[in-house]
Amino acid sequence: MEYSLVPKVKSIIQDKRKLFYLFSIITLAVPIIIPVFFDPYWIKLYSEILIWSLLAASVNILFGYLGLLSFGQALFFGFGMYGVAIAITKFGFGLWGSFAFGIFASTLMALISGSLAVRLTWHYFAIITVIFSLIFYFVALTWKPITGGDDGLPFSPPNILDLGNFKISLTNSTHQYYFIIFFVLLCYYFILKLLESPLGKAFIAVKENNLKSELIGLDTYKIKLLGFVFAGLIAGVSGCLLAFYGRYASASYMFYHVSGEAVVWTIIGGVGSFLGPIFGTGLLIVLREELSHTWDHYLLIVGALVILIVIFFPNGISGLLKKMLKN
Amino acid sequence: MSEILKITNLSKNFGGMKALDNVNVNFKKNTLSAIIGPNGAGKTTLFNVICGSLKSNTGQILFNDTNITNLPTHKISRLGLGRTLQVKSIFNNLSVRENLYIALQSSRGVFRLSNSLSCEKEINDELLQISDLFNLKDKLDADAGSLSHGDISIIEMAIALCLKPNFLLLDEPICGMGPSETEQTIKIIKKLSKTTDILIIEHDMEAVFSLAEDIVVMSQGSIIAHGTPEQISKDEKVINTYLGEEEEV
Repeated sequence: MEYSLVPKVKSIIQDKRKLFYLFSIITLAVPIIIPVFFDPYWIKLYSEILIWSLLAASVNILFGYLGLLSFGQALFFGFGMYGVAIAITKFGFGLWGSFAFGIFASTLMALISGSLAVRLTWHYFAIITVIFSLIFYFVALTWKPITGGDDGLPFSPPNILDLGNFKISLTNSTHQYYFIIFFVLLCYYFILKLLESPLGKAFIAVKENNLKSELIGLDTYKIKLLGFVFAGLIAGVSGCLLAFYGRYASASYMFYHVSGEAVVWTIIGGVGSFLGPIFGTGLLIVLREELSHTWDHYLLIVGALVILIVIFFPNGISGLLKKMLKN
Repeated sequence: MSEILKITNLSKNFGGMKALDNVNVNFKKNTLSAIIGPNGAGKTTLFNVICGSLKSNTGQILFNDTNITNLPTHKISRLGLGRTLQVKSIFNNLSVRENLYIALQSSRGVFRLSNSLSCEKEINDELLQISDLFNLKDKLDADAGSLSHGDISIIEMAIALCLKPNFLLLDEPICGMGPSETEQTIKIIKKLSKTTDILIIEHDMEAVFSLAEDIVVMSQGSIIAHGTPEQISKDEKVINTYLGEEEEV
């Protein structure tokens, strides 16, 4: 029995597409399986992990596939969040309109900041991404009438669907869960499509050898900019979803700590691994949930764990899993 | 009209140093040309300026009568000017197959989410043809970076050829190779020269004189001689500045 199962598992792990289907099935089944064994609170936490994992995935697109280490993804996350919150509270948009507005705002911001940032490489690139996110963090913090500043901008979410008697609403936790995972899975599907596409292969070429890429006729600037905008879009969706989940937006989510956390999640999960960001985000959020109540200095444990993983498992959790399955 | 590359009054300064000093030279079609000269003569700088990796200070470069002076590198590559580097440069962490694949994909455009089936088949067919030409068939699935220096140099030429260049600049293609690898590479270059115009920079005089039909000699950023191998081997200026030293040894 085991003899026939192992190669199957291996083929799933090695094939991104199969892995994606497996992940989708598990995610769809979570609300059915979890209540049997655990507290339903874990369903909510799982959806929160998935939302945050998209922010890590956007770091992964840049760092893992284009070789650009961004410490500013929280900027696009924040634009997604505020896009939703401002569209609902100030413009009176519905759920879909505010969602679209949030995605548009973050993607546009990515296009503007990216057109400057991707001209740079390595530490210069990292620094400019931090600077962009700091500028808008302080803008959000001080522009109180619009952003709410420190207090944030709370809102009550409009219905997903309103047909008179029949309503689908985020206030229903099951509806909210499936609303969130639909968009999370959609994002991962787009990332998968991108990685399999000619453009995704060009990403890897640019990461591997920028000069050679130009010599084979690749427009590296345009390729990096497209990657940056796509990563900004994914971070934006993540921010929109967290705004719907938490029913508010706040400047604190735009601080570069948040970007840094997403980088750590990515490294722990495995840089350049398709679903690595989910593993990294999942592990560290679960640790936070479990440890932060019992010990104030739990971040020491997280820090030690990160150091150990970076030294002994440079390919992160997904690298470790692949290694274990190979043996 | 019969010139593939026309360079007029080309200069490149690094601070006060004149790396290229008013270079005027034309390279003919259907010819395997070579640039020789002592270290620091400006040969690689000339390649860098032609390919757009460096911007020139003055002068003009016409490639097939198109002005390519100071265009971005990728645009020049797209026009059909291929190049290999002095320090061998390929995609080390990808397999040989992936190295060739991305170059073939690049020539068809990468800003798309998928290839049509016929395009995919075309790429794979061409990939096999090129790997056949360069004897790379049994190495296709190896990590490119793990192969020998000679193999890497050959892969670099194969990548350049994936873009179907009209003109191929090879910067020291046999540098650092053993005798058998050198022989094999020279054979490949000869084979390529039947279909593509080639310009090589090379220090191995035996190789240069066996390959080239047209030789340009550079020294201190200038062209000091230009002619057939016989003319160059008898040119006094060249013997004094470059070839002579070798004969004494």
